[in-house]
Amino acid sequence: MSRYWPRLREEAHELYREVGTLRGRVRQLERELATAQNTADRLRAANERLTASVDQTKARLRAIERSKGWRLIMKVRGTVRRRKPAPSAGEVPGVPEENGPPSAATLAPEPTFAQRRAAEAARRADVAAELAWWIEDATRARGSIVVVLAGDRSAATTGSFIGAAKEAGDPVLLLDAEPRDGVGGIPTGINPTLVPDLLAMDVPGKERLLVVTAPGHVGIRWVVPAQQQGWWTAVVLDGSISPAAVYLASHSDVASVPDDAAARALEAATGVRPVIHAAPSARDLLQGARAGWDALPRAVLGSD
Amino acid sequence: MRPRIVFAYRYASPGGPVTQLLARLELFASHFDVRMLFEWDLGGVSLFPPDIVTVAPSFQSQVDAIAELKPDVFVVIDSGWREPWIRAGSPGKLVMEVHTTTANLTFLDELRAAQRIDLFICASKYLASLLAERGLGDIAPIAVVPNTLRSGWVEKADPWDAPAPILLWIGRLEPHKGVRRFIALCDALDEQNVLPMLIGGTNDTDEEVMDTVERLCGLPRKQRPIWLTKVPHDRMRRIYASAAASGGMLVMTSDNENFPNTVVEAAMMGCPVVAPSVGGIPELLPRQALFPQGDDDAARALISRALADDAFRTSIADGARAIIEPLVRPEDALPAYLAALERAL
Repeated sequence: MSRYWPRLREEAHELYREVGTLRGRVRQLERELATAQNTADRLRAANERLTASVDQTKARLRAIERSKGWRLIMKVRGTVRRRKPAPSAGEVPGVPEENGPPSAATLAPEPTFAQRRAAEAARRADVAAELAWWIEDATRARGSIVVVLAGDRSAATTGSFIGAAKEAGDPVLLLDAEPRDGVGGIPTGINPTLVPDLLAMDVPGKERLLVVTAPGHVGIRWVVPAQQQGWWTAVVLDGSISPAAVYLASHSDVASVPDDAAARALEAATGVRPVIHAAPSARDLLQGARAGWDALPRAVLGSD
Repeated sequence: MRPRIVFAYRYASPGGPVTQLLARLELFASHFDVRMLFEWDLGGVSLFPPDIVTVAPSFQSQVDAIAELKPDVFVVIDSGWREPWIRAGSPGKLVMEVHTTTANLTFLDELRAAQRIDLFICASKYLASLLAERGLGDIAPIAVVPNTLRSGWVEKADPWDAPAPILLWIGRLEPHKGVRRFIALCDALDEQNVLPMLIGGTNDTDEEVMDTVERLCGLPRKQRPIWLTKVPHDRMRRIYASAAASGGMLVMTSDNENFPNTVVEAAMMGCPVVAPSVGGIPELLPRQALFPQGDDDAARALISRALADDAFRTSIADGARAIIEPLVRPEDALPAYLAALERAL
């Protein structure tokens, strides 16, 4: 036994080492198995989510394809293609022709999103073209002031500015209104609005004046951007002091009120002194604006 | 030949993503042939060189524009443009930049169902987590690339000599931005002689405009409030400088935010910012500049302290800049974007 002991001990040690190695290998394989199982679980879960998503999407697609609206669109598209084999650059798929003969599309209960967008874009393009013509005419007009009004067409003040502008040959435009009777206009609901295009107009040799004849959202929205584009801005107030009137009086270049009492009231409410005119003209307002009113926005922005 | 990267966004209006795109045009031009696509021009197109931008309002013109541009990388910012890209033959890799917040979960659901997206990019860790939670990581890798600033934008500006500390608020008038909450805070702080200053409003609804004017100008205040419905981006430096010089600050009142550029710009101009601890804002501001979202008492107390304590104001301004400056360094913008793109390419 003692003769074989060293060899046995050496073999035992080798076995211990091998056992140790094998135990390590087992642990490593267990870890790899756990990792693989986790990965499999994650992939299974991802697969389930993706399968559910595919099913949902397929169901959505089936629902769309089975809907009356879709079938109608397909039918109309077939008609359009037959009528017009080569689509033009501006065509929007699925949009019926506006001037075509009555078709099934005209009976569609609700326009699709694409149809609404296309109609909106077409409407905007028409208004933009009309605005471009108005701007072109404005540059050639004999009058020396371009007058843009923010107010109610039916109100007397607005009407008198329109009448006076026409008489003087000044180009005049009413915001939030249809162009009509020689008065330019940007109708409501044009999205995105064309007012920035209007304010950016370049008319060498003419002054540009934005007159707010009714304190409201249109004037509030555009007084500061107009100033930034080099326009003079004015608000014509009837003496009543609403929050909108307070805002416009303190942010425009000039505010006009009909009498001294209204002037005192406005000054008390806003800290600014208005000019007094029973019926101001565009030229009165221009003079008042130029007279050195340091409008608050101009001071804040340093744009003077 | 430089690879062509095309950024597609809905509106070209000054500010917001257009500011970010202008920065990228400047900073990415050494590596990419950068092009922009917009559906509509809201006065932002003229800020770009003319040959860089295409405005494509109709579906077919969008398809044609993409087909003509043949992008190597097509980056859609937030919404739209995916369908025309597919219809144009899916040229290049499709990257979705997501800037939306939980106010617009439908958009994320639409992305979840979308096909063929190679990479998601968002500016904040917060939004990356939100995308991952909603399973978008199964569709494509999600990378965080902070917004950047144009080089030179943080140059000093001459402040307006304000008569009182300005409480500055910037944003759209829609409810989740919290303009009503801001005006209510100004009402509560009127005794401290604050000057409310609002920036934004030309693109908001008639009702929102009228509601805002009634709240802002309906009551007498110690200081005449200022509301600039639109300010050119280069003038914003003067606005931030004026707020800082007046002893005031930028006040955020949003229900949620991702990576608000206003916070970044204000901080980089040395203007203190106080904001709710919501969305990606805690990634940008030191803890002491934050108040719990919706806690108006805490907001009022924090603003009061910042108005009264110069050292505190300096501390939150410096703290914000220390966090934000390394994130928005112009020289890091391209490498960070390239590292993200590598995952898709």
